[in-house]
Amino acid sequence: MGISFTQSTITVDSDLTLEAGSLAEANILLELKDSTGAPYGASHPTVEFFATKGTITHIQDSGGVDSATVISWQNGEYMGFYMADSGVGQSIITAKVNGTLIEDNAIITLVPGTPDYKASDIEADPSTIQYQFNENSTITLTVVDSSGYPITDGGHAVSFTADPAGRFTNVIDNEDGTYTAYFSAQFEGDYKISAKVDTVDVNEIITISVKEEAASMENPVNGFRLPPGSGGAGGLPISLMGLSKLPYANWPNTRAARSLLREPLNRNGFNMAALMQQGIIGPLMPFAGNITGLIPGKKSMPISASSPSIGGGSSSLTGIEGK
Amino acid sequence: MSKPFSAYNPGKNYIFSPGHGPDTDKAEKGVTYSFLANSLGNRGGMIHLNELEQYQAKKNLSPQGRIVRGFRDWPSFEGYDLIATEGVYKKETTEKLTPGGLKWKATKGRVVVYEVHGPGGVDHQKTLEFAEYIKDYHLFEELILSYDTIDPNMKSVNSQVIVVMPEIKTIPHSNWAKNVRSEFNFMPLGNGLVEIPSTSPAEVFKQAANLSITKETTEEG
Repeated sequence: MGISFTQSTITVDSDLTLEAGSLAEANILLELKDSTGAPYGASHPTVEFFATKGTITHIQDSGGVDSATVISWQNGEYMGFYMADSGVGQSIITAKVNGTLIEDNAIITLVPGTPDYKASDIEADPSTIQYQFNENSTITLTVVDSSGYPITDGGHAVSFTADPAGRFTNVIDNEDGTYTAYFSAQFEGDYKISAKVDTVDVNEIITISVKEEAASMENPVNGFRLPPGSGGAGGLPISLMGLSKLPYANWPNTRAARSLLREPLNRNGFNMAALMQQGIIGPLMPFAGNITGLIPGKKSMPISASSPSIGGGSSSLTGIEGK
Repeated sequence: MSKPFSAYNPGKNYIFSPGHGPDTDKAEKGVTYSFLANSLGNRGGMIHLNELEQYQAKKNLSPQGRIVRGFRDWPSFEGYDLIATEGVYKKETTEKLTPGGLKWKATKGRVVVYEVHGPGGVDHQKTLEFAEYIKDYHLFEELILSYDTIDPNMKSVNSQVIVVMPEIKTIPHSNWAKNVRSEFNFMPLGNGLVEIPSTSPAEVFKQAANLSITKETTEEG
């Protein structure tokens, strides 16, 4: 009777939970059986163990001889030695006998060790941002254990600081050992980002560069940013605004111009005639044509609950009359 | 927990197409204001408002949701797209805004600028109709039908509808003044919804200045 790949079993004979990266060991027992469930010892197959995380250091048969090709095979028992030398997670232990996979498997759970706050990892994405777009960099802090493996739960008090001062949103606890905040700044420069975890300073300090990007075809809107200190354009020459470089045919550019010019202070600051002359904007002259219609600015229909079901819930408008 | 509004992509249209697509579902779930809040931004990038600012901006934006949903439901707008081109505005640190002005109100989420697009882009007539619809069926502080000739390549005068909401405290106690006016190139064109011909800017300027009102509609309310 041959080996049954469904009856054979794999078990772990020590604690199923090990500290990740700790080099802690566990013993794995493979019991080969035939189709009746009885131990298989009729021949001496080649046995291999596999682990999705960690390492199988060696195997031996029940006689205690280290070898992948065991000698004392009569009782069908083979032992593998497992070492927890990798990161956090589940390690699935499987075995092949003469190249065929045993259906059974065993699971060892690798858990984080004691947090080492000082060793926490800080990353910024991107590490360079343009401030005129109010761009943000996503700052992610990962709490790790003494082996450098990420802690997998949340609940720590994490705070970020920048030198020189910048703006952070509230820190988000992702509850997986990582913490996220968004950073932005309003002035050019290199900002050094540091962090604290439960009042402990993190060793790593990263740098985010904040720059001003010149107007370009790709970023035509940029030209409409008011220069620092201009106080609503402040009558600066057009060339300083970068407007003359802009691809005015690009509609987002037109949209930005329209948005900007809604502010009277900006209109006063621009040399509108020069902008028109350069073809940056169209002719912004007063209307001098014929009006083809006028709808008075008073409401023409009563507002009531019985009005057509428009406006997303007219009932709440009942009794509120505009002038 | 403070989260930034989504990035505003100046190369992307933020379109509310009635009658089809996932936007309709979103609207029906009452998150239309998110469409507005999330799709409208500064001249680029992310908007960061503190929690109190976000709270008030969302409150102020919420009546706009009624308008967006109304556009969806009103049969006359079937086949047209509503595009929100301007919304919540985050001013630059050094930028000065006129207190009580449009941009100042936009920083508080009180202003949304709409365009109504048909197959050929901005639809002049439907924009006017949209403004009239808002005037008749919605609450607001101010409604502005805004024409301009900013785009030098535009074949016709551009038209937009600017809806200004009051600072929302409670619905009954907010200032629903319902002022309606029109403007041309940011200059007053008159009270009410003034209709001008959908011609090229050059043609508009060539025409004589004698104004003739050819259409009167509806009674005074």
